[in-house]
Amino acid sequence: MTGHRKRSIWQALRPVPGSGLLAGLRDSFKDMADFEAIRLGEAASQELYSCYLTTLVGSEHLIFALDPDAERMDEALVERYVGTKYAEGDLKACIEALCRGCTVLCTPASASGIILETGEWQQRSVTQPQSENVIQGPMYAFNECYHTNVAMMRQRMRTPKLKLWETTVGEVAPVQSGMFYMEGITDEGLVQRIQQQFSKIEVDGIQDTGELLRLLGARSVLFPLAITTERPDRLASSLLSGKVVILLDGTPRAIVAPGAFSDFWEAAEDWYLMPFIAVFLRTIRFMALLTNLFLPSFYVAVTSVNIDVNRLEISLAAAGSREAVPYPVLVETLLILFLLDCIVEAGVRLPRTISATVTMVGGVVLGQAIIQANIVSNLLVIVAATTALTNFIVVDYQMGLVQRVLKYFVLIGAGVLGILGIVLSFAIMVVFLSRMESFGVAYLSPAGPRARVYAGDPLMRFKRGRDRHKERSG
Amino acid sequence: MSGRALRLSETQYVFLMLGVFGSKSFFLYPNLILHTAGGSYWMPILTGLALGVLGAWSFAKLLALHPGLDAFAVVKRSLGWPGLLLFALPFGWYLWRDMMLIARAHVEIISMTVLHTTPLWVLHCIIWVALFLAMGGIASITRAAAVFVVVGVPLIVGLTLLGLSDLQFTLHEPLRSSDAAYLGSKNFYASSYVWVGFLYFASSAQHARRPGRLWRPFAAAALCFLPIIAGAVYLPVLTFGVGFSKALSFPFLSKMDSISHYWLVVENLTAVFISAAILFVILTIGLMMHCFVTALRTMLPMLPGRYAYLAVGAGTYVSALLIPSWKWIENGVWMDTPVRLYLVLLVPLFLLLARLRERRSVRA
Repeated sequence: MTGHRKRSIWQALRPVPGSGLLAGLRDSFKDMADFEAIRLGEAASQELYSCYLTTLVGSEHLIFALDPDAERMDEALVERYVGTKYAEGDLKACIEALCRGCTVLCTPASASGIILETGEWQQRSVTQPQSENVIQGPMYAFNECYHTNVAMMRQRMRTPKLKLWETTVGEVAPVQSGMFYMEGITDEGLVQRIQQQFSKIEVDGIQDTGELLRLLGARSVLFPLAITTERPDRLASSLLSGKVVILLDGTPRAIVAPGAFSDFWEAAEDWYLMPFIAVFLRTIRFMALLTNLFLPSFYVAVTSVNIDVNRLEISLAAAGSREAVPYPVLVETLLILFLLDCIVEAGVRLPRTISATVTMVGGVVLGQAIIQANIVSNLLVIVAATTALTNFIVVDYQMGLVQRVLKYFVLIGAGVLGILGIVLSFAIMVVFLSRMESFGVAYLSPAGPRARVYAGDPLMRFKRGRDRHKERSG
Repeated sequence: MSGRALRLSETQYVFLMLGVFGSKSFFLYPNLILHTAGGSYWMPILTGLALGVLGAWSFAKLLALHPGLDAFAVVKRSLGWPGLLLFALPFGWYLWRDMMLIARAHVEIISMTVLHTTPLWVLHCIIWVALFLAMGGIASITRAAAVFVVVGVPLIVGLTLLGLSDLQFTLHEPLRSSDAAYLGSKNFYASSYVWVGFLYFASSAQHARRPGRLWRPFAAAALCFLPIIAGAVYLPVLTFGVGFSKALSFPFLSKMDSISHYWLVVENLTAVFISAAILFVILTIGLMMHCFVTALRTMLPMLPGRYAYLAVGAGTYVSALLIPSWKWIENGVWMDTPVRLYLVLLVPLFLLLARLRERRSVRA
């Protein structure tokens, strides 16, 4: 410990008339069983106390607490502290620090205390992604610890151009949050806009980035306005595309802003595969989206409203399969889709060991029984199974949920106006999307006017690469 | 993205124009061209295209007088209130009539071909979708145009290609006959409604980098759509013959109905065609509503935009519902011809007047 450091420590603990940091801390943390204020001994004619929450601190505080010779409590004892970081703080800062797992050294008459970084947070180890698995690419993901996540980003992008702006969110239970951006690549206006949005947040506490996204002004009735991901490689790629990344303590999912509709169909793996393969996979995903949204509606349209649209053979087969079904096609379809959504929801919520059984019972047994009971037709079961399958091809979980809802909207349109209803539903969705913005950027980008801050699409990357090549070749 | 910073590329203007052509080329145009005198159908089509490009060029020159302003503001600044009234009032009238006729014509087609029993007031809901689009502003319209064109144009092209089956070229000989008698036919002038889509640039010109070049997107879109327009006229003729095609209200739709291939999953291609056309109709009516409200707000700056849109949407819905018959639509397109030609001819006149005024002020 340097002489300067030692002097500043004792400077912080000097008595100030009328102050009582220790009493203040005891008052704030009363009725908290894990709060301890241990008298270490005397130093400079003052009693020295070590305060901490036993459930949050590591073992470093014991350097003080276990010293047997209380008579020799002086500068030498404090000098034994070999912590990596310490700071001086008033009552408010000390309270906040204690909640973070720090240890506060103080005397009864001092106005400020010494905050020692002794926190030992409980956290999940770094594991494989839970919801964004890939075959090729990095195999690790964020956990719930903010500092671990920041460290992972720093390890991934070793450049001083990666800037980090930090703040806390929440009045009653503050939570640390940080925003990464790339100097020289990210639009400064976007960074300032998000910083302003942070300053406007007034909330008691916050639990997840989904909640934070709404608080940042990204209000949307249905569609998610930014991607949330747990993959550091995906974040690094987004940062290099000029986007910003927002991390929140206590959640493994980070926000990538701004977001566009097309981003939700892009898997992390796409960047690691051959371009044609990536395009092929994305095409499959888009086709799956269209199938998921429109297949049940198309079935309703061509079997109940526009019967002449289909080939006669198919129409006859459809009519034959639902010969014994007593309900109108729309009711029949709504029924099977509702049942399907119930099975999916049950599969998600139940423990994994049981969910497989439920899916089996719901999918196979119930499906077979429902056909034999003539509640729905054979053809509709095929349609419903295909719809369910295509719903799980979606990369983003939030967008998958949106699809599940929109399917019913298109279905009602088809039930009323047939094929035209499907087209009108599609038009309404496109118009709705064309009016949406995510952090000042059009949600339908890159369709329509190009946004200044949205330069992350493959075309722009290609142009940037071409410009660099030209520069190199002189 | 703020409206001030918004910049539209020429490609985006092409998309807008493709949408306009898609909504106007099918419902009455084939019938009007088939009823022009002379029987040389390629001539009125190409003449219309050439005059349309010429009109677009002169309109673009007007817009270039004051870059960064829409057409109404340009006219107001160049010629003052009298000029604005002479331009905006007939333009507003024409827009209102055009919206009403396009909406009703397509609703009639839907009612006749796909949804026979659905009430017209339900089918007119396309106007409300267009209103929703227009209220999003020109940025929203342009984005939606990109999607609608990407979805709709391949379908229309595919249908036109399918229409190439079962053609009998002996049914219309000689194909290259040239008879200028169409110039004396009122149907030729009525068919000009297809070629004046450049007028809808009036409310979006301020977003162009170079408004003086806005004729180029129009010309590009017109040339892209020319084979489809020609197909809409010639495919029925080469399938059913001239006489029978003339007797049909919707020769192109009848041609679609006649296509049958064992490998086609969809039997009723008319439904597919209407699905694509409706997207273009929504886009075009949205663009026209935006133009209409821009004109209104230039004349009445205090008018709240949201209420203006709602009033225009409600007015269009009610007036389209009140159209009694298909004959009324045919007459409506013909009766609007003087106003249309006035607007197209007036633009060069405005240009001339503005230039003269500028020269006088320079001399003074």
